[in-house]
Amino acid sequence: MKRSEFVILIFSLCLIIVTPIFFRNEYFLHLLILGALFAQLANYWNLLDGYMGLINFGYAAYLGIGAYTSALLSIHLSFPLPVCMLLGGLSAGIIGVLLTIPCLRMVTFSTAIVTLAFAEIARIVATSWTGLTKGEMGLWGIPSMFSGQSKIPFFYLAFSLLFAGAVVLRWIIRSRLGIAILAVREDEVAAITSGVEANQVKLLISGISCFVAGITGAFYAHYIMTITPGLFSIGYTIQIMTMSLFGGKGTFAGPIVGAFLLILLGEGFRFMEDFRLLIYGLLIIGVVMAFPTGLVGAIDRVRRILWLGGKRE
Amino acid sequence: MFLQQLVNGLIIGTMYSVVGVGFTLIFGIMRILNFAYGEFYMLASYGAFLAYSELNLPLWVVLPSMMMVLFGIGALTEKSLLKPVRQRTLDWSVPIIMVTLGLQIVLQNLALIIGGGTFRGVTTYLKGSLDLGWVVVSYERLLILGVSVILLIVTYLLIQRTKFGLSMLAVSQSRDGALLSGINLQRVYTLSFGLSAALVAVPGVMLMPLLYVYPTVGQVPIMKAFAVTLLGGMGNVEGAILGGILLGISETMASAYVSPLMKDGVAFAFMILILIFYPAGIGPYLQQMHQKVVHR
Repeated sequence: MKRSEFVILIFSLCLIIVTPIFFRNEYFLHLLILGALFAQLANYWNLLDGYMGLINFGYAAYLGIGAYTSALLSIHLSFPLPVCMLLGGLSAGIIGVLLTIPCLRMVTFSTAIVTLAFAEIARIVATSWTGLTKGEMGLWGIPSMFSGQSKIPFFYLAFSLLFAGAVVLRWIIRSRLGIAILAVREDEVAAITSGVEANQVKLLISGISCFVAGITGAFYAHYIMTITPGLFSIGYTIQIMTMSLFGGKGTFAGPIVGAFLLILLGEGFRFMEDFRLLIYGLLIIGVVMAFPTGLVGAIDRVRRILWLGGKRE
Repeated sequence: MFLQQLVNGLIIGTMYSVVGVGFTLIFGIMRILNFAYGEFYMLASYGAFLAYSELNLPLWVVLPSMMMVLFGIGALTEKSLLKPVRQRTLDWSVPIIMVTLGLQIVLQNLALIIGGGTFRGVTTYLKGSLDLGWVVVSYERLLILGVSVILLIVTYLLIQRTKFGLSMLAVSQSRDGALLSGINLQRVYTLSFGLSAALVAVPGVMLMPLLYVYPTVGQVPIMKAFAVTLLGGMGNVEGAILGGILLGISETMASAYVSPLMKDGVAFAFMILILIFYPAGIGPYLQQMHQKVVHR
């Protein structure tokens, strides 16, 4: 680990620990919790798409599957919550692997639409299976993780999940597996001839990525305590994608920066009422037109201009 | 009953073909997914609503004028928003997809602010229906069928027979090769983006009585466009035409024999099933068959 990375690590840890002490505002904490959840999702979407090049436009489906599995288990069978969350993650991971099997044979952009179609099917099933999911009414009365009204325990849990997720992600990328992932993205045929089991790598990474999405969905369910089939909708997927691409696809810091920035900016424009989303959209267009490689790419470019090193493009 | 559903599916399917052809064209040429595509549909729908029911213009004026307006909007979008991104970076596929995502949000909210969230629309363009005994078709659906079939034929001829169409095909086959043969890439991009928007204007006008118009109506056609593009093979025009018809028929069948709620779900499941056996879509297989027949 480089020294600059170590400094950033310690600094962000301190910031996380200190924030709830100084900001008692529940709404602000809520936004930060959402930011952490979305950062986690954007990170692992980035693992699948940015690092491995397996485009997934139905990522919200795994979020929804994790949320519904965990919520239903805790309501009907009253399992302990950590077990529910783990099972939610596992079910999302297994379904993710199963869906990746047909995708292995397809060309790049086809997987995008197969996953999108799968998310739509999942949403329609969740909407019409009213006996189990209560349909559009949404599932409510999901047990909360912590008793009491305070958001601070949720805050610490969300950020420790994000932290653990980021560390695991970093470890995956730096390991032999990470090299295999990048090789598969750059040239699959060359990777296979060099002895990389491309299909196994794809299945494994899809499994990991969808497992994390499921866990995050389960956390969301036990945090908000009501869930609707809207959780499966393409809107969430697009939000996750936007965050990841806005910060910089295929970079480590990009999705995290993008997630927090977009969540906070989205709320920051709330005083503009009806014009809020309009400005949000214009901002996305503006930033992409100015920095096509994402914000992190832009920072790297500035550093290179100033002779401070920074990664080559 | 079965024949009735088949005819209904066929008619709506030809409209899906039009939607799909416009989308797949842009994918083939620029290798991007245009997320603002549904919003072009929405703009055309609003335009048709204003022109037809507020200004009382006849349909044969509304349809071509909307196509021209959308052609302008599409070409302008390409020139003002996408061209600068292309000039700034070499690997521009992903940034351009992002720009179209942003454009989608902007256009939806613009429509919401200006027009409000209410559902608008006209009940029908044409009243009455044709009763053939074994099947009943309303005149409006016949009109939809006629317009889309003519449009598909014209588009097909435009691509296969004109110089501009051939240059589009060349770009979609190999960007570098096209550049080396002296094709003006920028011009092809701008005109084909305009053409794609003009194509989706037709469903925008014609389907307005069926789907109504509201700010997020674009979600419906873009899902169909995704499905058709995938089914037909990415960037494959013939495949998209057949894919649209298949999607239309499978949707109506699903809604008649399974459940109207599950309509989209069954159609998508059918699509994934086809893709398991034909991973590249049906378009390439169609071309292979065509070649076999021709060379025999």
